Amino acid sequence: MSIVEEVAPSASPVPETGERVLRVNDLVVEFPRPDRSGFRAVNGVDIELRRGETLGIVGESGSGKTMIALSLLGIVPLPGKIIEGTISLRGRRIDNLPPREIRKVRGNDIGIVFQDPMTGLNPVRTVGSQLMESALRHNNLSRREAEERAFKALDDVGIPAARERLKAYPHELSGGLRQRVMIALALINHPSVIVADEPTTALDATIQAQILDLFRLRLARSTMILITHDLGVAAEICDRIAVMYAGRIVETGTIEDVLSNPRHPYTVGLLAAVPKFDVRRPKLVPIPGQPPTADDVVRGCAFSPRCSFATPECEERPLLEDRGGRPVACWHPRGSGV
Amino acid sequence: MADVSKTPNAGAEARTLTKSGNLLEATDLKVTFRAPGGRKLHAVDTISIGVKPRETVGLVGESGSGKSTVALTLMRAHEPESGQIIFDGLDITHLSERELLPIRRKLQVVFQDPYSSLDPRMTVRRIVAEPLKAHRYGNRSVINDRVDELLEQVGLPPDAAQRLPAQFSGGQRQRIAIARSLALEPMALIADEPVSALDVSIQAQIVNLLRGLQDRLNIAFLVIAHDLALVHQICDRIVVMYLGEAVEEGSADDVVGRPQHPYTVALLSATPVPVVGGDAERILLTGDPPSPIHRPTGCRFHPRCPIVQERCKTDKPPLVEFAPGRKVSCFYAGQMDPPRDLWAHEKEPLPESPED
Repeated sequence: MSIVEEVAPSASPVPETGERVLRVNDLVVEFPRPDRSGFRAVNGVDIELRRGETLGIVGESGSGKTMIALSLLGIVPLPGKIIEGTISLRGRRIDNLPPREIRKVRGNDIGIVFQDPMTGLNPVRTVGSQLMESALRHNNLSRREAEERAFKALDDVGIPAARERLKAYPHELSGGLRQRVMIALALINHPSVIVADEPTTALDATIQAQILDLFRLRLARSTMILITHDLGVAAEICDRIAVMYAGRIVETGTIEDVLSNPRHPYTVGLLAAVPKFDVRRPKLVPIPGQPPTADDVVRGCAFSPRCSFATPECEERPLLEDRGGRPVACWHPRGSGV
Repeated sequence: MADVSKTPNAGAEARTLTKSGNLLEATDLKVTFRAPGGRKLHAVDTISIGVKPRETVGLVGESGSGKSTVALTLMRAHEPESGQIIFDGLDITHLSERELLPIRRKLQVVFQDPYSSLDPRMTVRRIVAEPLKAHRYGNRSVINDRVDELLEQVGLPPDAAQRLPAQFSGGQRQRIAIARSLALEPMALIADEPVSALDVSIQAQIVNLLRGLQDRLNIAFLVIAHDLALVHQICDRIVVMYLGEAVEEGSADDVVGRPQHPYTVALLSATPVPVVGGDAERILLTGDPPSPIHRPTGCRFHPRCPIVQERCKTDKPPLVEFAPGRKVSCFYAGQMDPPRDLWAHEKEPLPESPED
């Protein structure tokens, strides 16, 4: 089942005419367990992304959101592997490419922004040489042209004195500037899709605001998957979001719909647990219990042990399907249907 | 101390307060470190804070603001260059490690990362019992009973005692750390980013646990955190730090709802909230916080300030108490509009919660 097609066209700020760029179909990523069947970090996920839209994949630790990003990049860490499903980029399957071929896609047709620019950048090489390497590897350019492109890339992401910064080493830059360099590196080859995994999580609030602004203003029309745990960050830059729990998408829709009318009890719970600026300081409502770990065997709805609306019906797993206008994987959705 | 008074009502053990009514009070605290090249790193520059019994004070700032250094200095893990720390009526600024022992019992700390703060080879019982043994709390069965009581207080199952930290999730580990910090019935607890390593759904559990414990156990809290929304949620008062200095202080509602310092306004504006289009235009600060080694002249904030004037580059604004308990250090305080109406929610019903 696709996500996009079930969103009412009028509710989406993105023109539905956008060409489909990325399609993930029934993706399953499994890690072997010593005793029984494998642990499915991602368990049957469908994603569709159209040109110019930003999809947020929101979830907490262990929900599988980062594993989706790594699957798109062809770098699922061993012993984990994609055991089912397909990933297509502009109509071409990329999940079964040999390492040599996926390397041509990564950094070229898919740009990557990781959480920590210090691990995403090579500490012993200048910013310019890393940008130029990526430009040269994937294009037929002279060194001079590559340098121009590197300069342009830095300038585009709002790095002041970009010409001089080409000669800087990552450690000579502040955290905010380093993250801008990461973004420049992701964009340098004009990728069809950008995958950003918690791009602002390691940054201080005022620096995060700068980077979010960059996303909003300069990357507004980019085609992007944003992986985040922060619904506030998602609210700023996403057109649509998919909320994940225990390896599955439990709810999806436009960011406005999901935040103003959350339907899955997990989404409702997440929003109630976030502190808000309110003088009455309503007591935070935690979600009781813990999410399942890799050792737990999940039967039925994975959220039901923590859910205050669970009934015996929940022992059978609810599919992600249209329940009152939007896909929700719950037998007892909250809020109002359309 | 001559100017202290005993409070009779304060739980099992009487607290001795300063004349300002503080259980824990730091005056003009200054902490510097030696940086390479013989230069000085000014981590904390002349900060004064006080925490009253049962009060929760939040110390807010970004990385490098000096907030954690303040916490560690109050615990006497760092030596202050100058200033005074008074706890329970006693000047502890220069006490020896031996003299500090009875103080440590009454002033406890909870750290951010429950993965590194618990010894992975010790059972939960040993972890929680450790401070009890160190302070000769009682014989084995007295200690065992106390551990069971503590685990119950923090919401862990009785069989948790036999297990190892690795068998627990982050939120449960933080409960173990909290149980340990409460073992000796402290009067005050310093919590350094107590929930920032936890998932949102678990954060709320720990926040509510801490609040509940405070009400029951009559503890003074000093919470160090970077998340203003969270600090507003749990604190009575907030001190905002920038580059080692306090720039604004006041009641939590006042600091968040009527911010006076441009940095506080910017910080509030920078906090993303899960509402689409709910916020006014964001105030963006340019650049990064400067280095505590090469600090700007005049107001430390002036290179990033959206309303900077000429005099801010040369003159340093003092921290002025402009209303009781309300302080700000800015020549042009109050000239920026608060980013959000804190009282706007009053017109709307509370959001639906799963308990409804």
